[in-house]
Amino acid sequence: MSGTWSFTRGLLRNPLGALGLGLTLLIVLGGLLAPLIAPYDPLRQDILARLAGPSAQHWLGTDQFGRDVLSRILHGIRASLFVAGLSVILALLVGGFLGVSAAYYGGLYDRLVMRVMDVFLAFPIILLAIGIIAMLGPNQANTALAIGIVYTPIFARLVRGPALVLRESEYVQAAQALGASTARVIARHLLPNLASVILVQSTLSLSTAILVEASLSFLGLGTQPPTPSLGLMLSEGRAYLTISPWTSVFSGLAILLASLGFNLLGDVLRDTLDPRLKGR
Amino acid sequence: MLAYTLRRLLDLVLVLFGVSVLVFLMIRLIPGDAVQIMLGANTEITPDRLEALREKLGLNKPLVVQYWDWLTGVLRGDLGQSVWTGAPIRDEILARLPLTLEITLLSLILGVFLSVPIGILSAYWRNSTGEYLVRLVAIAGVTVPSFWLGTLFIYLSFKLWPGFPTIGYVPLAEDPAGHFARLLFPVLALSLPLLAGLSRLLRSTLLDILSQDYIRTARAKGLSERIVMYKHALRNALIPLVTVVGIQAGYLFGGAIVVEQVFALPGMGRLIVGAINERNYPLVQGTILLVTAGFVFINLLVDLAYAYLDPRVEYA
Repeated sequence: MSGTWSFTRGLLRNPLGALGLGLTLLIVLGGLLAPLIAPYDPLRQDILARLAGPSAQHWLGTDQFGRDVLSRILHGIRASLFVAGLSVILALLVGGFLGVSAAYYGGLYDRLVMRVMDVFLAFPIILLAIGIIAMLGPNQANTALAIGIVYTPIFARLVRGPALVLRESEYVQAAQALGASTARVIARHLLPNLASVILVQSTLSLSTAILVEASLSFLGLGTQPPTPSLGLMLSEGRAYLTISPWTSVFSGLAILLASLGFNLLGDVLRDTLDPRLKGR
Repeated sequence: MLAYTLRRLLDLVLVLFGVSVLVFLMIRLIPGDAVQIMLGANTEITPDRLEALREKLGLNKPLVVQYWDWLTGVLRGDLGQSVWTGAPIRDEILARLPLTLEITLLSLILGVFLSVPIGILSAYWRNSTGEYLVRLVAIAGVTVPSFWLGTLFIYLSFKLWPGFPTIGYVPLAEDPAGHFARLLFPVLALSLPLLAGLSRLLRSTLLDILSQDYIRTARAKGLSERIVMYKHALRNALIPLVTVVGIQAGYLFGGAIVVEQVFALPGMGRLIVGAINERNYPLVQGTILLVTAGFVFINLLVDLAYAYLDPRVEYA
């Protein structure tokens, strides 16, 4: 526990770390507690109060159906975190498994796995995600799956290098000599030592996954209406931009803050966990 | 260098083969009957029509034969026909590609050129306030969604200068000034994240280089700060920038697809979104294959340029 505390203190000593952690907490809490703290039902329409600017009743105004923008943004953040979180977990599990097993077994299996990862990395990120969604059909789960597949090779490559070094290390060989099973060596000796690179990459990946999800929703290939989604809100708001820019402005700002929070946090984490990589 | 080039070419062929297999399998891996889905999105489904479309797409042959037919077609420059219009897919893509390439290229040029002075200036600002501020601005710049930025630009120009053309497209030959005026905001929105990322990279590379012994030697022998910066430091700092630019080109292209929608520009973005909405899978396939192949080539060129520019790169 004292380790966790000193680690957090190190993070907070950097103003950017404090800012990143603060933003991340704000976004995560806002998303998780959306059903409790949102002032209105995000789907409730109030035709008489359409396209209103910020006021005491509606802090961030209302959209073209008179729905409360703040409530929709909170629920949109929730959806966005759900998709981004699910995709990073998927990429981490599958990519992590592929990378570690490739390093552990080596040989033909290693080359084959990493070749396939190279093929996936050759696609521009958005384009591959669009292709997968084109096949599966646009909805939240498929967006998470698509982004997860796109990010899988990043994690596979990330863990393979350090895992290769660890496999040759004396304590891993000692564990093997003592008769530890493959699963035990990987779970007890490899993974804990990969934790910091994984933590940093996951945080940074969450930041970009939020942007990719928003892009896809913006194109109409992600979350489908009427479910609140930040990218979709931004897109729909554009039709009323000159009358009432609030929906587009605030939903975009929410995307920026969510992505920025995780990115700052990941950036400072990288410095804190690996002092050799002093980021500038 | 020759051996290295050949090895990279072999890598390229392998990766392209893998890309082609994946793209080919796209239609075949669609859950359910792809032909039924494609047809259902556009007309009434009848057994005759199903069979006709299946025949047209060659989906009633064995998988390996299908792949071979498709691949030899692609290598001859035949990406198949659009399911609904019957127009060659190659022509549909070639009609839309130039605009997206133009936006991508202009953004790349703007981002790279502006990042050099900003990177240099920020490298001189080394106190802790500068350190934090540069980093915050750089990260904010990287995470700002281009499609939001573009939307803000449209709103602000509407408020400040209502007559300025922000939306739509005019061909270059028709009205060059109007053409570039309409590309101004999309290019700005797209290049800002790139500019932020490249400036930060250049700054940190410069700071690393400026602490090297040969820079100290250069200063010790009395060279002016100008010469040390431009002749000794900057030249070397630009090399890592080259590699990143190749990767960034892919991101930029993806970003361009989205930003085009903001400004109602008839580029690849509208083509692919339209194709998905009408379940025109062969068109989606052709687009992804062509664009990905393009980026595989660009990254090969970037790697070769890097190896050429930096003699320390091992060819092993």
